[in-house]
Amino acid sequence: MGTGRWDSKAWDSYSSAAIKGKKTVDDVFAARSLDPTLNPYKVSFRESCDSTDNPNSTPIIIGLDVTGSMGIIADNIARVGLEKLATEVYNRKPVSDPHIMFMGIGDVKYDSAPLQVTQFEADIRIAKELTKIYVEHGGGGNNSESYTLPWWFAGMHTKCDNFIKRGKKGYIFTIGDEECPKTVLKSEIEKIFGDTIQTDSMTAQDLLRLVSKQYEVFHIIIEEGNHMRYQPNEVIKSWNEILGQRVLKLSDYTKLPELIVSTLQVLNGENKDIVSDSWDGSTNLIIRNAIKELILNAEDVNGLVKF
Amino acid sequence: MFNIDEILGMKYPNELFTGDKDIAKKEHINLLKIFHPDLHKDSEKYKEAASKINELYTEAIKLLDNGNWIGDGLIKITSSDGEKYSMKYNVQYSFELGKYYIGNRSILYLIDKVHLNFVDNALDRIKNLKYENNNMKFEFEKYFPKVSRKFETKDEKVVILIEKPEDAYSLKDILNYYGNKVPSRHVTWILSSLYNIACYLYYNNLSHNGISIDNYYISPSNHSGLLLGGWWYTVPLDGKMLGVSNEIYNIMSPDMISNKIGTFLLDLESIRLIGRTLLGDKNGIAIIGDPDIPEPLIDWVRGVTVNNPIEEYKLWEKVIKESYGERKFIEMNIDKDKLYSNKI
Repeated sequence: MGTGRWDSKAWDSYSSAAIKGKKTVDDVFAARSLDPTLNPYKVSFRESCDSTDNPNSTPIIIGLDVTGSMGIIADNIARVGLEKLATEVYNRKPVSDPHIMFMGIGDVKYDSAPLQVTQFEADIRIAKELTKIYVEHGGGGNNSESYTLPWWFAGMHTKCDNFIKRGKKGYIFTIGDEECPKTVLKSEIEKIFGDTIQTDSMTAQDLLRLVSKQYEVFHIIIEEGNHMRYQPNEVIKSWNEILGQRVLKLSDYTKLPELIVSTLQVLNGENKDIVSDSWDGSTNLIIRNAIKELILNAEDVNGLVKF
Repeated sequence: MFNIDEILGMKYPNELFTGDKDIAKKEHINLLKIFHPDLHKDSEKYKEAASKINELYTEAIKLLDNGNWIGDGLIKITSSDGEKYSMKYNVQYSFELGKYYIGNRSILYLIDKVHLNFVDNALDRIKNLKYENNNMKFEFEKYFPKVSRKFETKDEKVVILIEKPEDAYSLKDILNYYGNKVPSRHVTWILSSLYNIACYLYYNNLSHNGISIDNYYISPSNHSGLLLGGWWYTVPLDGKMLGVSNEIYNIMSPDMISNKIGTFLLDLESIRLIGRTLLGDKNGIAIIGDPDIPEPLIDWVRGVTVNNPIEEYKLWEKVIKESYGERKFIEMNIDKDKLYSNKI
């Protein structure tokens, strides 16, 4: 998957027909159950392949929390965010030939669809895939959602030319307002993916090591989320312990596209201040705060990385 | 005589020049008489060729001025004290700290002096390896480097000479021999030997940080492995890391990169990377569904480490059983003639 290029005219046309005039999250995301094409169970691979249109493809996975009130994030992405994200990535070129995959993240303990995965797409098909996601509004009282299920899927079930041909990692962002789950059980991995693991469970650190072999990993905490408003210290601590400087705190969820683009820019060598200043008005401050702790990967000299 | 494309593809002075200053000078003049850009219409390509000739000549003279020469399977080095040393080698490789040369019974590392701290660290870690008792020492000592010489050269390099059993071959050469895909039954015993060593390192409270196909050697006749290289980066578990090769950095997770603290998990991940590499794809993607490789083995090398080395070894034993049933000695029919026949 991943042929074609993003086209704003195609977006306008799609948006007019499928999104504009719809009032609520559930109007835009009309599915009331898991679409079989988004079910990760027994999926061998989602592929991000180079093509004539996209000769140097870069996979970008965006995992959206679709529990409780977090559906507003997916809603905003569908209404305006995706167009902004795609346009800015093409204009600013922090990475080449983006292939975007969305994931819907629920709670494996409570929800009927704890993980949904689209294809990697480069053109308007990604908007169509996105709006197939079932916004379950679920989750439970366990203080966390299944933010690490995308790490297993990305680590074991994606096949990306960017990595295979060029040895370059893709990017995975998970987004939500709750804590990082400490473990995923063997039975949960079997249930969601149909995969068998040797141990009874895997910790978040284990899953992070797995996905980090192929992806640069980030988590974006939505500060406006309910859980984050009531238990901010617990949320931040749980993520900082796992991801350190790769945790990005976002105070305005409508600026999610700008934050993703900025992160890609900084990771690819651009100056944090210059990147922040490139956004106007309040966006500048929001992005500046969100990326202030982000640090670059170490540079190697003749294959040696010194610490 | 060489043609222009052959010259442009050359890397080492000995490919173009003889290891004697006077002869090399004549060879240099003769080459420029043929390849000087003023003598040719297609001057861009000849400019590059002349530049390459000059570059290799400069390097040749520098080597010879310092009493050194490398070529035709022989490395000659003069120490800063004037002592001359020479060694026959089967193959040479560049690595992140310099170069190394694999002979029949020795490995010679030629390391840039700016990396002396890594060299000193390696020697210190090797010297201080501990053993519970003589039985353990007898079993494990042979798997680790025995440093026979260390000296500096006039041209700011450090030489480390390490003994190697004659029937021990680097995994890199083994992989080349098998055309980048080692039969999976052999990979299994190679990984077992690596887990054995990982347990020993854990007992020594060490994070090696350099376990790779460049640094690991196997003895096909004994089905054993020797960790002879990569000790430059070894630190105590929970100690501050000094550095790693780019290849190992790429499998470090964000928390490892952020903490920079020695952990057995990195060594165990490096072993799985070796598994993937030997099976034919270091990314672990091309091996999926390969009918030559048992599925439990594929899942294992593609998966992730979740335990300490001892627990990891127990799980690994289960994987072997699921893959092949009971253990069986599979002969690996390799010798140095097969391995190095076309190397030099």
